[in-house]
Amino acid sequence: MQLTPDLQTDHAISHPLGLLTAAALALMPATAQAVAPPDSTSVTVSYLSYQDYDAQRDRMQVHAPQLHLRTALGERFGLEMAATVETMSGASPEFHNALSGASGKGIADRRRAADAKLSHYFDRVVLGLGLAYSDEDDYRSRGAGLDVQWLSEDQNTTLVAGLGSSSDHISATDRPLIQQRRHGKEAMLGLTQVLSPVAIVQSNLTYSRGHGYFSDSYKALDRRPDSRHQLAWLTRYRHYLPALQAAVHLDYRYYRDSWGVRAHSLETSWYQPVGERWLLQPSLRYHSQAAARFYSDRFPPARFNTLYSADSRLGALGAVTVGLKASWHYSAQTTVALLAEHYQQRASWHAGGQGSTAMMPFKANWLSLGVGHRFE
Amino acid sequence: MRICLLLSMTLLAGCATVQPWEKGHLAKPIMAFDPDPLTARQHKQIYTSKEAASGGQGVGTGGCGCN
Repeated sequence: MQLTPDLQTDHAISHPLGLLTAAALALMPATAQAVAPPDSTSVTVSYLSYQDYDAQRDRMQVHAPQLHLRTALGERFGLEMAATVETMSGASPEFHNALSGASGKGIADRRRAADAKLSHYFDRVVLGLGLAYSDEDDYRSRGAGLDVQWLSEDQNTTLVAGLGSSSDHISATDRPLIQQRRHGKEAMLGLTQVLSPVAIVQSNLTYSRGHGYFSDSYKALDRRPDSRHQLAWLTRYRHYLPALQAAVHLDYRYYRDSWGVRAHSLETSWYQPVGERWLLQPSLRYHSQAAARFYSDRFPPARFNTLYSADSRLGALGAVTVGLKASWHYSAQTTVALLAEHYQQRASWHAGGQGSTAMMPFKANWLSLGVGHRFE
Repeated sequence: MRICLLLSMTLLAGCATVQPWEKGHLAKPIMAFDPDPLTARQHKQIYTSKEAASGGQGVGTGGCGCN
């Protein structure tokens, strides 16, 4: 959910970069800056190919076609929808780096997910209702959210408040007796502020409380608390450089939860138009997290009947993503974009300490090819 | 957390009123907070399934099994 003042994006078609700007709308709908429904319908389809691996073998592979739609419904309503089908295969660790595939079981699953958001635009207020659904062989999640945005009279400041809830059903394909539930509620407060003609910042604070089954039934001896309270504070800054006609994005998220996880995620991207038809976007992300209190580098645990997890994702680690996206504007309405990213996770990259020693370096590559079209 | 709070307050304290006719650059698609909604969803899914931290992108976005 984005918010900014009444900034229409169909300005500058006569500008030297007018074609680029107009075409970019196809792949980059300007939801961030609207107090009116979108003035055109945009559709994007993309295909994601993902592979992760460690020093010993490949782990999970994911292929996912994706669809995104944004349109106006009359003069006062806007609709945004997305859908995907992910086909997953490979092996996931049972503990630390020991893969389930090593025992010959492997994993094969299909995830179908969709979300939709209906927004009602008043003069300086936008009311949004969102629904989300995700279904796998062993996991089903339903979510709903309601938010409201208020714009200041000068339209330089926007406040947002939101409430959401989720209901998940968890099972295990190899153990039919596992039928568990988890429920969550979340609240969000946010502020967007225009700082200058070339700078804007947004800061959103989200607090969520979850109760129910949080253990991972595929992880050996995994036993987690039956509640989790999370705080995520995301601040995003955008700066335009007129001399280069480029934009710099800087995002920082602080995260903490009741399991003892503390995390910092910092991401930056550079959006550089090149000529009339190209947009290049290099990006860099760094993430560092402290371990959950019940995470252990030991396996098996020293004592049973206590909270315990050897899931490396709950360990102390650092991660880096480097990426490059290239967008080619075929016309003012149609854009083709290719994104390539490489991800690495290492215990030694954990900020302020050694990290979890039982974890071996983990890597992933993904490619995404998308085509976006804007219908006038 | 304190650094983030300080940074936010400094940024807000430094902002002046920007007139509507001065917002041309801010309106460009490359200045959007989420210029690419599908990539944002991909990132959310990948990072949620490989890291312990999540959230901040909005309310009611649902979850996943995330193996």
